[in-house]
Amino acid sequence: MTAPGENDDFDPSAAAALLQQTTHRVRRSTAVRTPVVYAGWGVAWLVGLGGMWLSVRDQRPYHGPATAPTVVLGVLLAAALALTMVVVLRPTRGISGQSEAQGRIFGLAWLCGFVLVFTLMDALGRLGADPAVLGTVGGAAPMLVTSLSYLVGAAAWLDRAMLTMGLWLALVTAVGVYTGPVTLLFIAATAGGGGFLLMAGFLWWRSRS
Amino acid sequence: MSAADAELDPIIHVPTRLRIVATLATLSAGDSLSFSRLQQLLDLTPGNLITHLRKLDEAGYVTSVKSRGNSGSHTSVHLTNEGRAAFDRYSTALRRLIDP
Repeated sequence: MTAPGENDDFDPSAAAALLQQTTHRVRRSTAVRTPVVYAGWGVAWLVGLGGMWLSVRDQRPYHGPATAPTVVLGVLLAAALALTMVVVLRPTRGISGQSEAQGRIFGLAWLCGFVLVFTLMDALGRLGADPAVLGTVGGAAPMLVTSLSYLVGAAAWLDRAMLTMGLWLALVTAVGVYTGPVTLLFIAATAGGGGFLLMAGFLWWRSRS
Repeated sequence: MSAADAELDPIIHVPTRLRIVATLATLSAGDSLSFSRLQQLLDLTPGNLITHLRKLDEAGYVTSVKSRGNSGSHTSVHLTNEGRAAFDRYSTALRRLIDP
């Protein structure tokens, strides 16, 4: 029986054109728009951590950020996470198997890291840690977790952008941690958030060229 | 069919089946695609897609796995190692025919 779509006059050049067109279309439909993901995190870090820095920059001695900028940062980070999930899950819907498992384990690693950051902060608070120590750990630990998450992602997907971002955030964390809790927030907002935005711009430019 | 066309695998060398195999070949080797997403990507009717998938399945090029979830039954399609190798051979033969 001949199936619908079978065609004896299907010449090789038409087949090559159809093959190229199909591959291009499917790759475009299933591609994750990574510049949007980087831009989302960049805005969240720049605005959220920048706002937090503005609230503590004149504190002498340092006693910690106010509630409002902390809430704003939390909302911005939640929005960036939601944006990431939409941008990743929409084009990859229906795809299951190894890639899906890699994504789930990556998400779990990231979640474990942040749960441990909050656990560490809680433990340090209960031990009566100084606000400057809490501020430094509270600023550096999320950057450390994000840096390692990107390096894990780079290993899983052999992704140069993730490798670059992971190494950059490791460097920003290593430098910022010696500057104290106030300057650390400024460095995280500008060098961290700015790094995300630069990477978004680069990836967007590369996708167009 | 010309002598040159004889080099091309007749299982794949049909427009709809070529599109199906090319679509599945864009995924990583360990990945599957749901029937509904494959249908949406190729803009095919379910009946047409099933007919061509059956031919590919009989040749050992694809496997379909049915599973039951909260939202009902779900079928995912996977290009076998044999299917991926056949697609690679087909692509190589096609390039040789066009640009000898």
